[in-house]
Order: sequence, then C-alpha cells, then structure tokens
Amino acid sequence: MATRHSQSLARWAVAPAVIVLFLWMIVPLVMTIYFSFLRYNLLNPEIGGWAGLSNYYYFITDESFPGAVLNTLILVASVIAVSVLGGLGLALLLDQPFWGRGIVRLLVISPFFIMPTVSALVWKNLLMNPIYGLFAYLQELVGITPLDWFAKLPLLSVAIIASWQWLPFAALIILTALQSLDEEQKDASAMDGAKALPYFRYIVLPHLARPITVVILIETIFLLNIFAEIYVTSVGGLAGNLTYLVYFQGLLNFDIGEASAGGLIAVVLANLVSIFLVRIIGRNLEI
Amino acid sequence: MSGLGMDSHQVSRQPWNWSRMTGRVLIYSALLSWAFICLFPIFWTVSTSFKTAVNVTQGDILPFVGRFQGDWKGWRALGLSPDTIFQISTVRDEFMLRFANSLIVSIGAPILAVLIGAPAAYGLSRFQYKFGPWRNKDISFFFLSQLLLPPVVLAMPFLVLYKELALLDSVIGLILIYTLMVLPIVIWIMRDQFDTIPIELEQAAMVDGCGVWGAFIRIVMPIALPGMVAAFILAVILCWNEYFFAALLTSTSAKTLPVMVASQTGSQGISWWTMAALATGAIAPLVVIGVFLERYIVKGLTAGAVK
Repeated sequence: MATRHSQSLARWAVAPAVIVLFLWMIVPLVMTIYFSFLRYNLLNPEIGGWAGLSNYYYFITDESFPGAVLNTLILVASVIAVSVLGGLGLALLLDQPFWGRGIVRLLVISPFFIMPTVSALVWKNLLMNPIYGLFAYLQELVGITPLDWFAKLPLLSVAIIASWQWLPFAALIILTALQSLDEEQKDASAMDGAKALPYFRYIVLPHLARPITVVILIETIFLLNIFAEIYVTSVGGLAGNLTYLVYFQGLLNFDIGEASAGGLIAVVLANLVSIFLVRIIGRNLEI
Repeated sequence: MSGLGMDSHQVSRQPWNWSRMTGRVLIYSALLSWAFICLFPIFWTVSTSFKTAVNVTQGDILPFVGRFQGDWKGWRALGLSPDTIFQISTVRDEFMLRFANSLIVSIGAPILAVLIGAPAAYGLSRFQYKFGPWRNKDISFFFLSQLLLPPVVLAMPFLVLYKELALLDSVIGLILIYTLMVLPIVIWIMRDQFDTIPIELEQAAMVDGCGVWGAFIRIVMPIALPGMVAAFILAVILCWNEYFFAALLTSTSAKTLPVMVASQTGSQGISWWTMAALATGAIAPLVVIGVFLERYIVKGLTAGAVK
C-alpha cells in the first residue's frame, strides 16, 4: 500500500507531546528530588553541601505541618461533598423542563469562569468583610454581631469560596449526563409505572456513576493545589494547606531545600489520595 | 413513536397533577435562589465599581435607588471612565500592559498545546503503540499523571531553571509552562473527540487515494473541529485565571492580570470601587467568551465524563 510509509510516519504523531511532557516534567522533578537533599537557602549562599534527610525532617516536624495536611484534606473532602451533593440536586432541578433553561444553565455555571483571585478578593472584601461586607450588613439587620469570617472561621470561609466555584462545575457535568439518559428508557419506566424513587435509584444513579467519578477526580486534583484563594484572603497562617506551606518555605523563607522536600511530600499525599479514590470509586472509569 | 412516548408521559403524570403545581413552585424557587447565590457576588462586584464611598459604607444594593446614583469613581481611578479615557493615565497603562500579557499568554499557550496535543491524541486514538513495555494505556496514563503533579513541586526547579535560561519574568517563559499545564487536558478532550469518529471514514478516504495526513486534514479535522475549539477555549480559561506560576515566575514586565488583582489586597485603606473596577475588567473577557461560546465550553468540560 502506498500509504504504508506515511502511516509509519503518522505513528510518530504522539512523539512531540511525549517528549515535551517528559522533558518538562522529569527534568524539574529530578531537580526537585536533588534539591531536597541539599542545604540550599538563597539567603545563605555560602552554606551548601548535602543535607541528607534533614530537609524532610524539618519540614515534617514543622509545627504547622500536621495542620497543613489536615487543612488540605478537609478542604478537598468538604468542597467535594458540597459540590457533588449540591450539584446533583441542582442538576436534577435543571433537568426538569421549564422556561428559559438555556439561559439559566449559563447563569448557573458562571462562577466557574471567575478568576480565583477575583472571587477571593470579592468574597473577602465585599461580602465577608466584618465592617463593610454584605454579610455584616445583613447580620446587623437582624441584630447579630457581624462575624469576622476570615479571623474566626478561616477554613470554612475558604471552603465556601471554593464551593461557590466548584459546585457549578459538578452540576454542569451531572446535568449533561442526565440529559444523555435515553428518552426511551425514561418512557419505558414511566409506562411500567416506576415510582420516582426506585427510578432514581436503579436507572438514574447507575447512569451517573461515571460522571460523578470524573467530577470527584478532577476536583480532587485542583482542590489539592488550591492556592490563590488562601493567599489572597491571607488566611495562610491560620488555614494554610500544604501548597501554601511549601510556598511559605520556598518564597518567603527562601529555603529551596526544605521547600523541595515539602513539594515531594505533597506529591506523595496527592498520590495517596488518588490511589485511595481510584480504589473506592475508580472502578467506574476506564481511562 | 415520540408522540406515543409523550402520551404515556402525560397519562402517568395525571394522578399527580395537584402536586405538580407545588412541585413547579419549589423548582423555580430553588433555581432562583441558586441563580441568586451564583450571580449576586458578580453583580455586587460590577455594581461596586460604580459606587462612591458612601454607597459602600452604607451597603446600598440597587443602583439608581436612593443615594446610589452610579459614579465612575472606580473606573476613573483606572483611567477608563469616559472623562479620563483620553487623558494620560499610568494606572491605565499598567492595566493595559497586564491585560495584554494575559491575552498573549492565554492565547499563545493554548495554540501550542493544541498543535502538540491534537496529533498526540489522534495517534493514541488510531494506532496501537508499543514503546518497550509502554502501550497506549500507559501513554495515556502518563499524560494524565501530569495533572497529579502539584504545581508546587515544579515551582522551585522552574524558578532555578528559568533564572539560568533568562526566562524569568518573560511572557515566553509563562507560555511554555502554561502549555505544559494545559497539554494533558487538551489531549484528554481531543482523544475523546477522535474516538467518536469512525475509522471507516478515513479508510474510505485512503482507498480513494488520500494519504494518512490527507485523510486527517480533509476528513478528520473538519469533524473534530468542535472538539478542538472546546479544548482550546477550556485551555484559554485555565491560562487566563492561572495565578500560582504567574505570581512565582513574573515580577515586573510579564506580570498578568491575576497577579495585579491579587496585589490589591493587604493594604489598610482599600478603595473598594477601584478594586471592583479592576475585578470587573479582569473577568469581563471570560464573561464574553462564556456567553457566546457556552456550548463549546460545556463540550470541553464534559469530554470523557459522559459516555
């Protein structure tokens, strides 16, 4: 066949991406591993040499480390719980036929496009500000002392902002899945006189297994690394996650060695979480 | 057929008719309250950009009611109000520079990612690979595993590497790292798209004398174009909003909008109107994209999630 030659050429289509990602991922990763065993502080350039495992030791025994891990996990778990349950409810509502569905769908997913730094800034200064914020205004209206959200409930505040951004994403994916549910299947079960609850339990939920899995995995990936919301609302000291702690060590303390060790610990945590998730829910998904 | 289906629907619903009205009311009120939660912060941002100090401290909500008559205060501070637009304004120059940086970065990186990612996705969808022990599944997993690598791990080495390569604080440096960031997602969406195109179409084209690339360009590309647009737009959104690497790798000349927005916080006397105007300017382009290209965004986001 004349195309034999071009066909073997076309097989190389995948090569640029593999090479680019390999170089761009493996080189920095190897460098991080190397740095993590060095004494490497930009403020003390004369001190160098091998550090052995001391970077890891110092990062793990840092007094804010356990809190950072806990905050990371709480943030991921709570935002996922809120967004999947809320998104499921919202998607079921949006799946009903009603007037103006197209517009409502667009409106409902809008928070997902808002720049995270903007939403953090807006929630912090315009809504949750204890003096001029809207929530304070409403609380005063009903006679409650306004709450200083970011000082009193820093983690909850960040979780609220993140949920506001991610619930629409979950709702959108689940809604699209609901709409792909076979019309005939719906009609058939309606004809069989299936009640709403068993219909939901045996027809709808199994159909939603895959989209919900995808939502959970994608949200986990992004929420593990949430940074802008924590940095901009300056709750890092109170409710910082692992990403924030690494940033703090590397860019505020200029300790590249310890920050690299912290980064690798973050990789381990990310992989543990994803292995855990894939074990539990990943059966719904073949890549 | 569908007519029959509709009928059966009607029949089965008849007994619950009395409850349908209350159901309707519940649905609408639930949707309305969610739309309110979604939109109010955005409305609040835009409206605050037209407020004066009194409006902010008194918590005026609706424009053109009472004290809140609308004022260009916030936009004037940015040099973008009608009366200052033709005057010299350093703040506006700063804003336009950041805006231009954001624009270049969030168009450049997605173009690169689609150019590299689309062929890779096509290859994965059409050929069986065997690089040593690696099969298609492993290559796909390698691409996706990229996403699992937290940005903080790449942060330190990129800082050091970019310093060596003189890419720190450069738009090109940002484009390169954003390409890396969105490439796995582009490949994921594109492969999903290519998988839906029957291979028989290309085989027919090849029988008719097209080469592999001819078939790709003339047959596959036109069909896969919506998926490609979807991947591209999703990549644009991610790049436009990215903050961590931008904050880390830029300082003065290549700073993007998210970094400028973030720098509004911290100082004691915040001027709410300016902050709100800046925030409005930063989210406006995506609002426009969202309104006009919503179906592509939905397509991109749901790729692989719905089968």
